[in-house]
Amino acid sequence: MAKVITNNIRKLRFEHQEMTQQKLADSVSVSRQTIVAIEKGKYSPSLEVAFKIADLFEQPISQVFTYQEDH
Amino acid sequence: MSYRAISILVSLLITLGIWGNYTLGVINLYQRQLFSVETMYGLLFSAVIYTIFLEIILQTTLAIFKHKEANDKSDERDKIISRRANSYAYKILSFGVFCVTFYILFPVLAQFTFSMPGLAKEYEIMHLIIAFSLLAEVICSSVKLISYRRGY
Repeated sequence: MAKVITNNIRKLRFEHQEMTQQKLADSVSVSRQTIVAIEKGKYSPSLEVAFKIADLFEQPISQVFTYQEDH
Repeated sequence: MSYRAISILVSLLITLGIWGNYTLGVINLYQRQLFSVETMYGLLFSAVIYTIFLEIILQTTLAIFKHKEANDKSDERDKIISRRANSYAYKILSFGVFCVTFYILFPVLAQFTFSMPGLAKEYEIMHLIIAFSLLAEVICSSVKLISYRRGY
């Protein structure tokens, strides 16, 4: 079975005072559309953006992004 | 739909509409046996003017309505999608260069594949180049739209 990259960004945003997609986008220097695409699993960000997101939520990258079997 | 996706869609529709109209105009003139260099210039000139005019009007209107997104710089996803689309367009253009070279080197064989009676060979070559440029542009825009829509 193929493996895919999934993420908890949506959950983490709500745990951080319901951070908006726009605020997250501005914080990691991408567009809101890119955040939407990442959350939906339509786009896998670069390592740099992935680390920036993890850093922003003060989580290790493995807690934000996971590489697992596609169900 | 994002600003970038709408902007690409607008450009694609303008290209398809105006150059489709140009193609139909050329065919119509041939059928009525009115095709000449002068009528071709008229059609070509109006197609170029309409393209520039519509692009300016529609893209400006779109930028006014979506001014927040219009000011955004392209990010890594935009650049990846653009690179992917350009690689497809490059292949089409390369094939176009091969076809034009073939047409110039073997005009007798080429007559069976592409010929515009009443036009000098230079104008036939010009039309071949325009056709491949437009095809490359359409493929480039379509790949971008699909990538924005389905993800990449």
